[in-house]
Amino acid sequence: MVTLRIKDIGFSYPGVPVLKGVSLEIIPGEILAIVGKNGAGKSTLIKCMNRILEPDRGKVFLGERQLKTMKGKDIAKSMAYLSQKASYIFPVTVFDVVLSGRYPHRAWNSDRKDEARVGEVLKMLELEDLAMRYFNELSGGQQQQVLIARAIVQEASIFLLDEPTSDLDIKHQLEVMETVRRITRNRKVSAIITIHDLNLASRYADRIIMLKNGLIFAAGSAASVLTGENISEAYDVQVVVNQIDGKPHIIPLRPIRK
Amino acid sequence: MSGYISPKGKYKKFINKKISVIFFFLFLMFILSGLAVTIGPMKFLFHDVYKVIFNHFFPGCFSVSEILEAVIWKIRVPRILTALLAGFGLALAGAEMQAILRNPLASPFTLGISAGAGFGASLAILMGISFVGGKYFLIGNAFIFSLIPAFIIFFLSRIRRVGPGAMILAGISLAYVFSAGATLISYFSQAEDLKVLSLWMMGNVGKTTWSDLGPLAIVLALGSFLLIWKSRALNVMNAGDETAKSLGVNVERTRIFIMAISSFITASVICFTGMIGFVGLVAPHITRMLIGADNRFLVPASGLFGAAFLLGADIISMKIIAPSVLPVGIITALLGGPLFFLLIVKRRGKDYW
Repeated sequence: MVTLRIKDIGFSYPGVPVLKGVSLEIIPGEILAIVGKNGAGKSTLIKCMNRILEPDRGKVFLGERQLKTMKGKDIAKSMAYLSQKASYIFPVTVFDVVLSGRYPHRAWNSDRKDEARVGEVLKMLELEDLAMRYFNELSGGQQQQVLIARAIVQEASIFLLDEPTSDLDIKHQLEVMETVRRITRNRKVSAIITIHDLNLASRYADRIIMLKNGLIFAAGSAASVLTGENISEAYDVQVVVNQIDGKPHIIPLRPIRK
Repeated sequence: MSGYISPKGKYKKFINKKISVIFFFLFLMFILSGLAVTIGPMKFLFHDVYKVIFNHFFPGCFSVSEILEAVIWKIRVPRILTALLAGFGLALAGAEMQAILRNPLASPFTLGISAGAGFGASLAILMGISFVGGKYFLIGNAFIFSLIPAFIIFFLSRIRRVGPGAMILAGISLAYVFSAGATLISYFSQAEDLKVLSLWMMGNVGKTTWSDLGPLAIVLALGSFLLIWKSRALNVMNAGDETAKSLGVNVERTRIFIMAISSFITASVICFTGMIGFVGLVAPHITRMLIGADNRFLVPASGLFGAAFLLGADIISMKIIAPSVLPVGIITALLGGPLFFLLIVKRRGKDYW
């Protein structure tokens, strides 16, 4: 198991500071949800975690090594990234998409073993029937499942998922989250998920980090982070917080005008 | 369960189909070459033509007349090889450019290469100015100028980190500048010189000799090896820059590398042949319709299809108003355009393939 530690990272788009010093450590096997309103820095934070974006300051450690000094392929062996809007400009099959997860492991071409592995993972996630379909023709929920299959084939022990449930109906939201939970439990993979739906975060995350203006505003269990007070403060929204199955359940009421 | 095929098995079939298409293109290339060598303004008997060919592989087998030897070996064979190499290079470069710029409209000329070459040729033909002297006065200048717009774009992308969209727009704007430069020179030139220039620009595979083919073949062999080697990274980049980075591809470096080699191949081809349009845009699309977007197969297959396509077009250009010969660049667009149009219209409801 590789650990991921982030120390005081900052990131700015030209003239716009987005992250202003965020530190955190990922616990192996956990689901960590990152919440916060639009522009709080959620996506930027997970992109800084695997060097899709280079932080302006601070350090990211993957195990004992600093991310900055590592080769891209070596980072990819430990960390997989599932983008919010996946699109392949020229149509490729699901099998090819999943097979591309083997890229960091092979110097030149993929081989029989790689193809066999893709077959196994497609079976495991019940995606066999989709194998030869074009990725772009699948529904959003199926696409997320395929990307998860790619990350498994990539043999990453940390999955970074950027808003995997945003475009999905409620059933597919639950299915994607169930798959993520199954994988983290069975394979000791940790998943870091940016998510808008606080109730999904509450239900599935082992730990929640709430961002506000590029800083960690609250961190900890769902019960300690998702309080009415924290949510009003971070989102400018009045909410009612109930309990369902021992987890906070949030009902938004009205925006707070300042 | 009978009739069940695992995903892995289906994928294997899918790959085998791609490989058979590649072999079919190779076969087509050989058939067309065999046909092309018998075609030309001078009429020879079929078996006499092949006697010349055999004689070069097994010297002394047949006795052949000097005129036959000269026409077949010094004119027709180099012409066929030029068509094959040029078609291969342009289609390969086009497939690479479309994939790396993530744009179906990209072609080998997207970075302003043809406009640069046109400007270089104008300088050489109309003003007698060239970087290179002697035999390569025109070819060398066209080659050097064709690469100038591409290098300006590479340089800018290094310092400003611009993405594919901005690169295409930069290419278009530089193409306008170089075309305007060529037009400006033309405006002050003599009619006879202009005729020479416009003939050069039309695209013709009949101007090369055996000594030109050597360097061209070396550039293509090396270039296509490097490009095919990079085709897996190119596949990963189909998913977008962020995903490609997350899978360990050095996106910026790979993009420049592939564009530089594609541009170099394109420049090497068109400095010998002039502007052969269309092959580089269309051959990759037609190939993609047949075998899909997996670059490990698409890249070599596009090249082979482009080679067969350009040779086929050249055969037509020799037949259509025989015994006169049309520049092949006219035929590729005149016949290829409607063909491609039909293919697109038939595939309604799909954006790309």
